[in-house]
Amino acid sequence: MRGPCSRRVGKAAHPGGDSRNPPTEALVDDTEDVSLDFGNEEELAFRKAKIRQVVFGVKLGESTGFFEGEKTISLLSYWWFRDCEVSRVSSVLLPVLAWRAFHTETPAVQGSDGGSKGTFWHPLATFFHLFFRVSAIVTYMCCDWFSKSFVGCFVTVLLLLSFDFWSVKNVTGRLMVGLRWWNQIDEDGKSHWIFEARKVSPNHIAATEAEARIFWLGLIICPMIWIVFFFSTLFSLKLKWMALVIAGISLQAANLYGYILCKMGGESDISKVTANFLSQTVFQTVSC
Amino acid sequence: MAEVAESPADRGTASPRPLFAGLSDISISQDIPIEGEITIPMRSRSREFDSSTLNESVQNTIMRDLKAVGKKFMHVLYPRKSNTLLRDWDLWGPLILCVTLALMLQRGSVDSEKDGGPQFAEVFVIVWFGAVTITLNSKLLGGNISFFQSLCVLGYCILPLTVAMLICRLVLLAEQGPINFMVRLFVVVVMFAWSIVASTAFLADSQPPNRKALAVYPVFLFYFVISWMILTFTPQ
Repeated sequence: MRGPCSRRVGKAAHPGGDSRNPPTEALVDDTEDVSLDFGNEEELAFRKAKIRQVVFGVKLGESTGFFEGEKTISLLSYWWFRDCEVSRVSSVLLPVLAWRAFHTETPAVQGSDGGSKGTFWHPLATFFHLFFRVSAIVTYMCCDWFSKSFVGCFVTVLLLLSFDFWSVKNVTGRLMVGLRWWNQIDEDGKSHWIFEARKVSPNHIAATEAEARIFWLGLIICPMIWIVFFFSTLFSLKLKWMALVIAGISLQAANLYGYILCKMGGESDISKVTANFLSQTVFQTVSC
Repeated sequence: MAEVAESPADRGTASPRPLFAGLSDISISQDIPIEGEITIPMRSRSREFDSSTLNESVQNTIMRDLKAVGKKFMHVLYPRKSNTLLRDWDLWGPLILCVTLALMLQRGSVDSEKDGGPQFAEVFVIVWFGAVTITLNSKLLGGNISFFQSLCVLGYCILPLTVAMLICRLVLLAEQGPINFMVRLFVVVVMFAWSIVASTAFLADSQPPNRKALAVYPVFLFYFVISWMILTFTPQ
C-alpha cells in the first residue's frame, strides 16, 4: 500500500508583487499532474492533420526546450489522472500556449506482442479489435445456417462478445490510441473510475492516425448494429434472443462510453467539448 | 470582495474609513510565499504509476488476469475473510460459471433443434437478474460495497453449486431411486451451505450490524432457487 502521495506545488508570490520580489510565474513540478483549461483554443489555428489530443501544460519563463519555432503545430496529450486533486488546482494556473510548437522526448512505445521498441503500428491489435466484434455480429446473423442449436449460438456469441470487451478495454485501446480506463476500489470500499490518456509525440502522429480511425469507427459502428438487432428482435418477437442482444449492447456501449470519457480528458461537461469541437471545425473551414 | 462591500455601507453611517482599513493591521509587510503540500487521495494500487503495465505485452496482461481469476476461485473454495476478492473484482468467473451451469441444466441434447433453449435462457436470466436484485437490495440498505464488487462475489460463490450440479449429473447416470435422490439431496445441501458461508464471509461485513440479516436473506433465497433447480433436474 502506498502512502499518501504528495506534491509540492511551488511558490506563488503575493499577487501584487513589490520591488523586492517580482511576481513569479506559478510553477508546476510535475507535468504529469497537469490538466488544462481549454478556454483559448478556439482562437488558435490548428491544422486538421496535426490535431491529435489535448494540449500540454508547460513551464513558463524557462528555456526547457519545450518551445521550438516550428511552423506546424503539433499537440501533445499527456498522462493525467481525472480524480487527482492537484490536476484540478494546476489547471487553473496555466494558460494554453498551443500555437507554439512543442517538442518533447517521448517514451519508447513498445510494439504489440513482442514488437521492437519504437514501433507505433500494431497490426495484430488492429486485427483483433475488429475480429471479435465483427465475428460476433456475423455469428449472430448467420447462426441459423450453421447449426440449429440456440444454445450453441448463444454461447458462441456471448464468448465472442466477452473476448471483444476484454481485448478492447485492456489491449487495443492501450496500443492503438493510448487510452485506458478502469475501476479501482480503495480501502474505504469506495470505487473510483479512472481514465487515462497517453501523450504522443509529433513523430508518429501520422502513423497512428489510421489506427485511431479504425479504432473509433469500430467502436462506434458495432453498438449501433446491435441496437438495430435489438429492435428487430423486439418487433419480430423472437424474444429468446433478447438476453443476448442486451448483453451485446451493454458490453459494447460500456467500452464506447469509457473511451469517450478518456478522450474528453478533464472535461466532464459534454456541451463544452462539443462546443470546442465545433468551433475548431468552423475555424479550420474558414482558415483553409 | 467582502471588504469593498462592507466599506461603502460603513461610509454612510460611521466616520469615513478608508478601504481595506483593517488590513494593514494584519501586518502583511512583505510578500507571503504560498507554498505547501497537496496530498492526493491515496492510491493503493500501483498500476497507474507503473509504466510497465502501460506498455506490457499482451501475454502479461492475459496471464495477470487469469491468475486473478484463479485466485478468486481458490478464495471461494477456502473462504476466509480477506479483501482480495472484493478489491480486485472481475466478472469472468461469474460468466464462466453461469454458462457452465446453464449448459448442464438443460434438457435435451445440445445440437438438436429441440434443445433446452428456454431452460438455458431461464438459468441465465435468473442468475444475473437475481444477482443484480441482491446488489440493489444491499445498496439500498446502506451497504458500502460497490455494484460490481457485489456481483463479483455472488457470481464466484456459485462455484460450489456448479460442482454440485456436476456431481448430480454423474449420480444421475446410475439408476434412479430413493437412494439416488438422497445422495443428490445431501450433496446439494452441503454445497448450498458452502455457498452461503462463502458469500456472507464477504458480503456481511459491508453492512451495519443490525442490518446483516436483512442483507443476507436475499442471498439465501438466491442460492436456494439455484439449488432447487439443480435438485429437481432430471434428464430426458
